[in-house]
Amino acid sequence: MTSASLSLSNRISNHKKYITRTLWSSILGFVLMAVYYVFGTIVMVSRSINFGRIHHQAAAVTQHEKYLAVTRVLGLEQVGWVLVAGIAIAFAFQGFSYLFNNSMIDFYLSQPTTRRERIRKNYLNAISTFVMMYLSVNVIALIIAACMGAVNSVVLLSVLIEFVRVLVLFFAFYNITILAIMLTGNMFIAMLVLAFFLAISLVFGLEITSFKEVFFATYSARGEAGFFGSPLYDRISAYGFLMGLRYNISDYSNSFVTLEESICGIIRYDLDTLFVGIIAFVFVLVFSKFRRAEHAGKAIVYRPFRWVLKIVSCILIGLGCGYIFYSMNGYIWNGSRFYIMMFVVMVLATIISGCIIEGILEGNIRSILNGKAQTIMALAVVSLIFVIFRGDLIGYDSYIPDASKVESCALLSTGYNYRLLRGNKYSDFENNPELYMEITDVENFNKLVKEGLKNQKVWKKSQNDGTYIDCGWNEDILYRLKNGKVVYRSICIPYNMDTKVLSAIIDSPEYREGYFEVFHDDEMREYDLENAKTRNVQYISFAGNETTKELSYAEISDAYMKDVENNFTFEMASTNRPIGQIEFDNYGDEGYCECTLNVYDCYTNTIELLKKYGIYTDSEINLDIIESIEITNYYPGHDIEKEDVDSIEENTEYGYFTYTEKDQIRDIIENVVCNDFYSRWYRSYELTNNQFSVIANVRNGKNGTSTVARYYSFEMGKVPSFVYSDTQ
Amino acid sequence: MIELLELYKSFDDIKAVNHVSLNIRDGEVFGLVGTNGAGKSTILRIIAGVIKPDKGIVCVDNRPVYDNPEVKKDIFYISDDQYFLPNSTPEEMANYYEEIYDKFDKLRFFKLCNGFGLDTKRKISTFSKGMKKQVSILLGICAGTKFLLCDETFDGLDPVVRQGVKSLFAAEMSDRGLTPIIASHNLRELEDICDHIGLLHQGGVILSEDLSDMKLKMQKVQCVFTNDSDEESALEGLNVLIHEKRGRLHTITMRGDREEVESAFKRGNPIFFEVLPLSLEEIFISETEVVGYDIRKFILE
Repeated sequence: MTSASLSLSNRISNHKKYITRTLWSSILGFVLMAVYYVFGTIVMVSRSINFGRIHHQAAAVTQHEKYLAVTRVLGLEQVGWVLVAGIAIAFAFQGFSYLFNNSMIDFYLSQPTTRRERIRKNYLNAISTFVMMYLSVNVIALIIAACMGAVNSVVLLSVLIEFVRVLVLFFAFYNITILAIMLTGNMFIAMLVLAFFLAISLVFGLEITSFKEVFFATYSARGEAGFFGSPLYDRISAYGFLMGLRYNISDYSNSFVTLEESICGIIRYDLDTLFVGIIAFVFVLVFSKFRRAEHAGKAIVYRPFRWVLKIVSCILIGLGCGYIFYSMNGYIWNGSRFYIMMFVVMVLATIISGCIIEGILEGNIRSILNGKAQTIMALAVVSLIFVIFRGDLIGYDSYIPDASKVESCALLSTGYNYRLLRGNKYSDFENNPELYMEITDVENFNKLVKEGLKNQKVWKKSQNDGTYIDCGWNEDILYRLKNGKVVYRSICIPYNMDTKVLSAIIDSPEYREGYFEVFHDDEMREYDLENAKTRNVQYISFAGNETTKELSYAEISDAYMKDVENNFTFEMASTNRPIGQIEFDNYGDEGYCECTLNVYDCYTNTIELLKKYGIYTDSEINLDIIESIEITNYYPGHDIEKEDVDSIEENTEYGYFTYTEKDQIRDIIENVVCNDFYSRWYRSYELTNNQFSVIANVRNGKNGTSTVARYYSFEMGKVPSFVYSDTQ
Repeated sequence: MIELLELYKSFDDIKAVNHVSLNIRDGEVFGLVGTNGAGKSTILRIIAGVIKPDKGIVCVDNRPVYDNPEVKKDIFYISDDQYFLPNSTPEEMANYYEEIYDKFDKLRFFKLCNGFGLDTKRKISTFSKGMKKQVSILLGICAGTKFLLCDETFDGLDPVVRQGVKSLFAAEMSDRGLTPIIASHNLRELEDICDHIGLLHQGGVILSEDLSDMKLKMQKVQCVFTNDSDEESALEGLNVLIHEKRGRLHTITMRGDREEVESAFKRGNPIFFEVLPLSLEEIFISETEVVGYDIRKFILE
């Protein structure tokens, strides 16, 4: 019998044998996939059912949890992709490792086939085997899940989409691994090159980001890292995005809308993975044409790639070592000499890594001094990068976009303590300015940024020097450009900034609507309405605290919004301290919300509302409840209102005095402003005296059984003379 | 017919095959002999389509071989270190080749395995080196190809199996016109089986001739001369390759046919003169020594 008469069943049987012999990792992969997908589905769905029984969950909630369980194992949120990536790498090595071995090359390439046909056959075998493995375990798992009542159309669609995503991931990892094999001549070097391919874009991106942080005073760690070209990073980022979404949307599994939202969020990562896979595939096709049998056993097959590999690796290691040196020593040592040391470390790391790489590629320790040209090129690039960053040759710290190219801008600082946990969704409203503040007065904004960038460098220098000068208001800013790009910077707005410019921005409705959470608090309102019984509102002022459970969040928000619209200006906020604070919280069974709102004396709507519910207390402090006042003088024997603080010798011992006499307490209280209520734009640098800290011990509670400390500062020019003498 | 024309292949700085031209005729056993690193295996790999030559042409039945499946269907290459699929048995290898070569005869393979005492269901990895060689030879024979390229194939085979394989080759040649091309160091084995010899040294062909012609064109004589002038007149005009002298006994290897050599020696009136039979090994040593390949010199030095 000859092969010409071979039956189809014999051919299939032979093919099966061939696959098990050449892709034996498929057996191991199949077992692992079965354990993860089939066993995982059974365990997760059973767990949801049991949890529902134990905690007496409503049937709908348990059903929802069952859907989530299947999605978590088989759908978009699965972590089985780690297995998929591993199988892709294993298949690629098993299918193409013949390129490393002469006897295998002789065996395969002497057969009546072409090199292209051989590659095509390997691809076909690997992809078809993987698809059969993946589909079979997923279909079994889905049938079991369906039997347990844990499958609906959304889950099914999620699993189908995930199948496509997994195929893309397999394709990318498979091609990257084959490319590494095509470029090398032995297994060890191929693995190193594979690691290089998988990590290069991510490592380089991280290093550049780190260098921005180190060298640029105005760098702001905001926005997305935006690393491209790394399927590993893509998949982890997509997983992170889905996890974030899961905790923000309560009906994740039951809605096509949320599924669509998930896909919209992750598609760019998957497209990047697909793009990388296609690029790698094209390179595989190109390099396979030039690949020769005699390349087996060589470290790196093509000389140009060997150059690229060594130079890029040296650069990455040089930059990385520089950053590690900075991280280890930057917090205790700074200045020009430190940066010279950092540069020396980078140079040494580049040279040493060049030697090590040469030794590895040659497999000979005596070869470490070879390839000097590549090392010199790497050194040149590392030095250039250092000079660019150190000297800011790209003008990063002074970059201001042209006003005509800017769509809108925002100041990104928020108030504090505004939180909502509702179902699975948590929000701290810190992204509100990013989402809602769209300042269009770019001309004034650019003036502000220009001064802010300059001042930020001064502030950063003082931080590095350890002098910690208070240079102004620290802010992160955002430019939304018309081309879709976004620019983030950290600035320090000087206290002597032109108030007209500041007013033009701060007084604008765009600023108010982005800065104050009350303009975008629908969910807070809904939550409070649903949980009216558990709310708690407290008004805190200098005179004391009052609480109520009757006042709804919606009422507070409405009144506060009117006050902000009518009365909040830079002029008002910069010259007035809040007279009190509303603390709202509502801890319900399935979540909580809380917020803090400053009340100024011009906020008449809010004050009226507080009075209506009987919790408004006078802003004047009752002297009778003050037990004592402790004053600390940080510069005894000096008067910083008349002297330059920098000329005063450091390490002076502080002066302390505690007042209990009513008259003295009155004199002090009449001349202080309370620091308890943080106020964003208050000009404390010129309105308050920071030489003294004033702590009033105030009796608290209805019976006055406990005391609380309230913190004050003297108003500028109003420090009583006895305070100077008592705290000498 | 396989034609190699001005074949050139280098590996980095090493010239593995240096402008080799050879013709391998159908139906004859071609022996490739050569010094270590002479390029025997490289030539076989080029003929098998594994390696692409840098320069020159390889044609099998007037068709280029590299990346040409149609031509490769006529060639089976048994490498020095034959690869088998991981954990496979002879039967599985036969199944594999059955799909690769249209004319693969599995039944014959089983019969031959049985004849050679090879268990077709036993894993090849458990076989001895010689048994693996046997499996690879039997697979090659049963593939039904026109050309069978054997690289050091007889190494490791015991004398009985060696004879058996030779018989198989002979049978295949007469039955279906098989053309074996054998690269080997074992010159005595080649001498028995080869019709034509290609002698390689440092990538180049020193000679390529029918073995019978080769033996006719080179003579080895032992003789004793009365004096030096007799010796000079006897050797005058002869192409002497090797001349050894022990006492008065001369052993001389030279080119030329028997009549020519005998008439030349008559001029020197030797006291003793005898033409000795010349083995392939002696021809090999003589030819390579002429081109400077004489290990004995290094050892003696």
